[in-house]
Amino acid sequence: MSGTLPRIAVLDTGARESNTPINVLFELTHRCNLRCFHCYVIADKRPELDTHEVRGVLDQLAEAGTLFITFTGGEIMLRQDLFEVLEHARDRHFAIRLFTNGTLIDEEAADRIARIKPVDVGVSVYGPTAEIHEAVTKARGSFDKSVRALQLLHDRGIMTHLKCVLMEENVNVRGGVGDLADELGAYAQFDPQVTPRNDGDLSPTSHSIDDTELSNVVHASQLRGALDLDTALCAAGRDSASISPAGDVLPCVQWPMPIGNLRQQPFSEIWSSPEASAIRDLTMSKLDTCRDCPDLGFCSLCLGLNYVENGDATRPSSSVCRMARARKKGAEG
Amino acid sequence: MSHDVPNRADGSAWRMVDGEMIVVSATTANILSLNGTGAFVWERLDGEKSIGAIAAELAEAYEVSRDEAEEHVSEFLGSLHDEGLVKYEREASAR
Repeated sequence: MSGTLPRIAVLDTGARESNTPINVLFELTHRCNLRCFHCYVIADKRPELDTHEVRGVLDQLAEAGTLFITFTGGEIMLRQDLFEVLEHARDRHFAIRLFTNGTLIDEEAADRIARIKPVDVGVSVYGPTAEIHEAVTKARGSFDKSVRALQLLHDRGIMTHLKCVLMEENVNVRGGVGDLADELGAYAQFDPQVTPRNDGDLSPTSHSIDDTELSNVVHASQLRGALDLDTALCAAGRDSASISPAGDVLPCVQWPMPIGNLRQQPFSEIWSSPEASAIRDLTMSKLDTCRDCPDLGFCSLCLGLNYVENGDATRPSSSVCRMARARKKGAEG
Repeated sequence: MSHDVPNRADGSAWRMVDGEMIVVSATTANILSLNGTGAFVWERLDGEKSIGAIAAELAEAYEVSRDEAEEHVSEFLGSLHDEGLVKYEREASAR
């Protein structure tokens, strides 16, 4: 024996230079049983991908290198074939995350979810009481059902979190949401950014918290230093993608600009198309307005929200600018 | 020990991405990246091959002694087991 055996090791996963779509968010349906007033989804009227089509897409994504897949909606539990889809994803060795409102998860569904072994399940909860939560969801009884789902999932050893968009209606009770998460063995994930609807309708943003509150809740720090002109601005269309219920491939769920449709083209063809390349070409050099902005170091730069608000990914989103100002204000005291 | 048969734990997720084997534990949700020898072993965790058999393949591929390979494999599998990524079945008879 003459060789030297390298130590068998676990390494740190580094940033990816290639355009492997390692993270995919898959909207299985836009149907929902709740009517949350801030929801960004504009329901697509086209038929949803059927079971066979979804399975085929999952096969293609596995081949393309996707590892993390998040199934979301709408409400995923409204898909009659949900567990068939999830079992297929598990058999293709994806790391599965689920986003749900939890209202349709009973003991049997929780057992079936546990058998899938998702790495995480996020359940939408907008307040620590039924009164506050249901003022958002417009569905009586939804709070108890969502909380019960979290309990059922936790009892089965599944990691769970409460997904809570912070709005004027609930920002003052966020501590209670955190306490509820603790009681349920979960963690709370707060998002202070209410986004426009996917058709550019800004009405949900009327529920946004005011500037003072925003400065209090955002992570008040500089996000980065100076950006090179060739710097990629986000993972959208690079190592992340989103798929709509009707099979559109999007750079990101918040960037509803299809670069192809899986009923017409295979994923590999869409991902290597001129449309996908154009997304990747949107570097700092293309953002004329943002490039010299004094708040740039505090800005999360969201091309998707730029697109939704302005129909142009290179023009700054007012809500993203507002977040950057709040972060800067917080950092500067 | 060398007759123990390791298998990937249920729900483990993995993918070879740009030549790098990334695995995700369904138990801890931790994300691990394996180096070349780690990927070599991971790909052989099929619930059929014993630790000894995997070590023998590793020894041959990397031209090292079987004892050395088995020591490395056992240590590595211990780490994976701690992450909830590996389960063991005792082999009925030596292969």
